[in-house]
Amino acid sequence: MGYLLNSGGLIHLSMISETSIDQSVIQRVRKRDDATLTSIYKEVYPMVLKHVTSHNGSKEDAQDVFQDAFYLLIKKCERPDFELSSQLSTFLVGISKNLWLKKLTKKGIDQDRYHSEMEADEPAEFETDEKKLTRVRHMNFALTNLGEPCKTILTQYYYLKQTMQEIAAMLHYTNAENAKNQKYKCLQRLKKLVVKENE
Amino acid sequence: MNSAAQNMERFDAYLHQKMGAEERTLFEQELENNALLKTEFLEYRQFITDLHDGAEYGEIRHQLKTIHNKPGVGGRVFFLSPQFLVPLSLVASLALIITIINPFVKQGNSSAENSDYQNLQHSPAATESMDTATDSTVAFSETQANGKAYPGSPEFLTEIKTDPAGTAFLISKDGYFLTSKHLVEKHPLLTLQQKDQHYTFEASVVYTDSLMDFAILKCHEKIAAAFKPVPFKFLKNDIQLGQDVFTLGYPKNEIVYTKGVVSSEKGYKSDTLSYEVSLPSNPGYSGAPLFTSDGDLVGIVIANNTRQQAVTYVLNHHYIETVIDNLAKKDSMKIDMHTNFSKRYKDHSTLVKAYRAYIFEVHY
Repeated sequence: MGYLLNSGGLIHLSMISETSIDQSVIQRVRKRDDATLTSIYKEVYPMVLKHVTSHNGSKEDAQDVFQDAFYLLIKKCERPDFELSSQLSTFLVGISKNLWLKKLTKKGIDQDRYHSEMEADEPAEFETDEKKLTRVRHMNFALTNLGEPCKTILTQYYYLKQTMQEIAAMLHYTNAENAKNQKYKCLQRLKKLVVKENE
Repeated sequence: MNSAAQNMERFDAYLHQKMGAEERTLFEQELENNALLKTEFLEYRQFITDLHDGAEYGEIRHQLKTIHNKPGVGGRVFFLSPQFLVPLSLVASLALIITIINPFVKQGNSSAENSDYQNLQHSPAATESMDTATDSTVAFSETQANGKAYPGSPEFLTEIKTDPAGTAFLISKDGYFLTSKHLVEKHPLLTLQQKDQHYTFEASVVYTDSLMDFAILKCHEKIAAAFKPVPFKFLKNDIQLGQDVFTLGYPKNEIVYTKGVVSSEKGYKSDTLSYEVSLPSNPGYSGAPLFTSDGDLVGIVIANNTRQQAVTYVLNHHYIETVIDNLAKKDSMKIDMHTNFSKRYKDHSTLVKAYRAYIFEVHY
């Protein structure tokens, strides 16, 4: 029921479109407030869908590119000094378009066209973002393919910062030492998978 | 344990701030003096940062995917979905309350028109496309006031006769159901049916687990009002090898009972969050509950092994319970199971008879 009664957290669409962006929107995006993310998604996704599907892409491509752009937006909002130079929607559409252009380039469109069509104010920043995105995508892919119980052990420990005792209890290991050994093996396997993925 | 593993343990202790002040200083000094160790440490730290970011990326993408699948977000629009009906029913009941108050207003001000009630129903708060939903909710409240039986209300749909896609079961009398994730991932709005009870109604997906194959569904509160307390609880202990279990599900459009026995405490490829049951299962069994012969809930049927006969994988009940507890802790969803009870039945068939009413067909 939680989110149904959350309507207090809903932001009106006009708030996103206003030129002077309410700082609290950035804060809510940072906290990944579901209602806020939903209204942004609802407003901006159709634009990205239209762009991608009219540029050799499918619905799935649009979804993938848009969600990656959204991820980058969330990560940017986490920086304390982050300020939006344009409307939130323009910003998200911009990153999405660039990401899609990059994907098309990888599929074989010439470099010149890529640079002339790039819509970033700071191309260098986009390149860094894109590299970072590839990195996390590879890691996430490797983690997913790692299988259980490795995925659980590693995400619980390194991401959710659970203690080894808690993890051992959750996975029914007889003691934390067994879980620790398992964690070591898992980490080695993950390293191999990431190396393979990066090749 | 080899030295690499030992180093890793020290790195973890340092990075997770589990070292005392003195140990910390010593470790930092050692790093400065030992270039090899320092390189190893920096590489390790980078890898752990990547691991953290990769996991976070997965979590964010999962949240966005869930948002994408919400009604009206990723393209599909369902105005009659229960998610919309809850706030709408509030608007509707407000309209009714104001109508009840209205006669007094009229007495004081006789010039008021008789059509006030109608106008209030179509209050500006309700958008045009949502009007149908508002109307049906109001109409429903009236039927209830007339004392008609609940299942006759417009919220229940006509019976579906085709084969169900899978199985779901009631876990709380407030209208929460458990099922498996792969069944509902592409369908934010589903139809649930229990033919013995003549229940056919819509339910929406309110939670899909990022890790394991299970999802939580919820139906509208008004539907849930018809439910009785759930006669089973999670088993407190672990399952035991060789324990007798049974399941109730919908591999065809009739409920089917199947008996089995716990054949391994670990699941597919030694997954510790699921376990293996020697029990023949067919497609439609996805999302079916697994009970011990005493009637305690011990998991959800998620998959079978196509290469081995009669090997079915079941998601561990401890994991499900942990997730439900965490959802309640984070205040995102409170699934109230305190009315759930368990009792001893005179024989097994009486138990099965009591349970089957809580097992539902899932239709798209």
